[in-house]
Amino acid sequence: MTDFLIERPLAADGHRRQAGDGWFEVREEMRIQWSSSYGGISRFFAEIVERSRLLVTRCPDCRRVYCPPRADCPSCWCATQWEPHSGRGRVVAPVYCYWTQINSPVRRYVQPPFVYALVRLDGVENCFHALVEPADVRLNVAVRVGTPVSIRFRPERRGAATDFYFVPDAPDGDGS
Amino acid sequence: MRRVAIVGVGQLPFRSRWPHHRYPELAMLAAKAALDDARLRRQELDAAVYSIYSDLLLRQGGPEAIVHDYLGLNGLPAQRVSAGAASGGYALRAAYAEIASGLADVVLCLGVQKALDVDEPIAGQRSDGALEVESLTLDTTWHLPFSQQPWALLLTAHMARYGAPTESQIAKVAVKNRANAALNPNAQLRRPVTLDEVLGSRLTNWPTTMYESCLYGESAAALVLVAEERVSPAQRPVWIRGIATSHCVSTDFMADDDPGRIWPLHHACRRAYAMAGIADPAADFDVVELNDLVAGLELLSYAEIGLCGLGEGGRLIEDGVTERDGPVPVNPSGGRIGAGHIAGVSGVYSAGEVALQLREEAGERQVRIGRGRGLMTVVGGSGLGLGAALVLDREAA
Repeated sequence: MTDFLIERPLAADGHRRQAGDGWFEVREEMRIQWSSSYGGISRFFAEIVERSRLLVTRCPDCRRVYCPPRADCPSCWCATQWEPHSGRGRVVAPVYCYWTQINSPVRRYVQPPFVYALVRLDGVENCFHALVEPADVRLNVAVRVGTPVSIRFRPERRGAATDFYFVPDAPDGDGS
Repeated sequence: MRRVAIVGVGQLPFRSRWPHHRYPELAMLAAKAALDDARLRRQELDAAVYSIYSDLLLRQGGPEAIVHDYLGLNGLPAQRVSAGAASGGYALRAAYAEIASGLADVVLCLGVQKALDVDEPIAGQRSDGALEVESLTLDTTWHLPFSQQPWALLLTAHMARYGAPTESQIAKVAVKNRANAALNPNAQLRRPVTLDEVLGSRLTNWPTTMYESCLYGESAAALVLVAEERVSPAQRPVWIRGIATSHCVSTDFMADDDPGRIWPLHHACRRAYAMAGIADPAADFDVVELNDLVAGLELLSYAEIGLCGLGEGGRLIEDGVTERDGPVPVNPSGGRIGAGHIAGVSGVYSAGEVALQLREEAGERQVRIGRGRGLMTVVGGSGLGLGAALVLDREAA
């Protein structure tokens, strides 16, 4: 099936070949900046940046609570209402990460090994994908399915999901 | 609806880079091969569906217009489908619908994607740049900063719930798929690996090691689909008996005691099985190709496609059920771990692999064909929320 292909040997370095080797490449760079509005969930990020305060959204019709917040309830399409939340929740699924690409946004905050997880805030329908930062990052020690966690806000906040992270609650449950 | 058959298969090898060919040129190579295989001329095409995952990886918005023009198909209707690593399955459904509805008789379904033109001078590795671009497929507000691997969340939840699959069972998937790839001339990696090598390779995110992760490269693959009135026996037709897709985010609404379900795969399979009349997937398929984006995901997929119950995937690989000479061979091409992967191409490639297996034209990696039925599934997207399933059969009905 592949006998129609014109085979040319690749150099040992695999790339950066120039004219005369059958191909030629040019370097291009694209710089794009966004100033994205958070629209109907703007208040979530404004409260975090300005007051280190966590808000969730509740549907006035079906009473379901969403965080990550949603301006509209996906279940009944009603406009939701804001309410405060304690920031306590539980780990639904953890990932112990030992490699990520050099330009991963997470590397601003942590280097491998680090732990991220699905975290469900108490009483909430949906989950955050969030960093969990235990004192002990040994595999499956401090962060497991069901581990109670509490939110922490970073000193520097810019209005992004990286402004906060979670820490496992101490055994006495005081969240410290 | 009219019956639809795949009558042409064109596949290029997966390679880390194809520097001698631009993406429209790769598309041309795959299209030529598929039309040659179908014994059709390009003038007989009525429409085209392009499975092209990422504009940014190509540095080209709307690349389907450029491919269509390059193939000399100006004037024919065409559309582009992009659905993450599930793109190929979605494109096949669109191509099927063109014919089943009566809008077209002969359709080219073509996947093409370059990825490693993206560069990353700091790391000195193009793959870091490619993964940065690919990450934009994730939910950029809520997922992107952290989780490059939505399947990792499903896998750890599954292991916590069932105590399985074990690390050794997961590694066996990589050993199987790399062994199959060694027999596939289109595979990017053709060196088999041992269990010790897989378990000893670098841990990327527990329990997944580097050798248990999918490859990342470039390729093109094409299929020619025709209406039943246009099928000739010389084309060795393979019939589309069931085809379905499902959008259903797997991660964000996981229950506290969730077993790590791959919901779009589950839903797509159930729909495709209902359409095809599949009652017992474990007994009905001679061959399965599925998206082993990581080895553990293949084992979770066994339950979702109906080969076993939840939590039993590890046992299947342990018992050799899905080996090339087992009762239900899975990924005889080598899959994403051995043959290769690039979103947009993989699903079209694997559908072609199932077609070749059912025709008994798969060379050294040929599996035993009994009932004459095969399954191709793909999953991908943000929160592993996109899935497609395709049931192929040597018989039209």
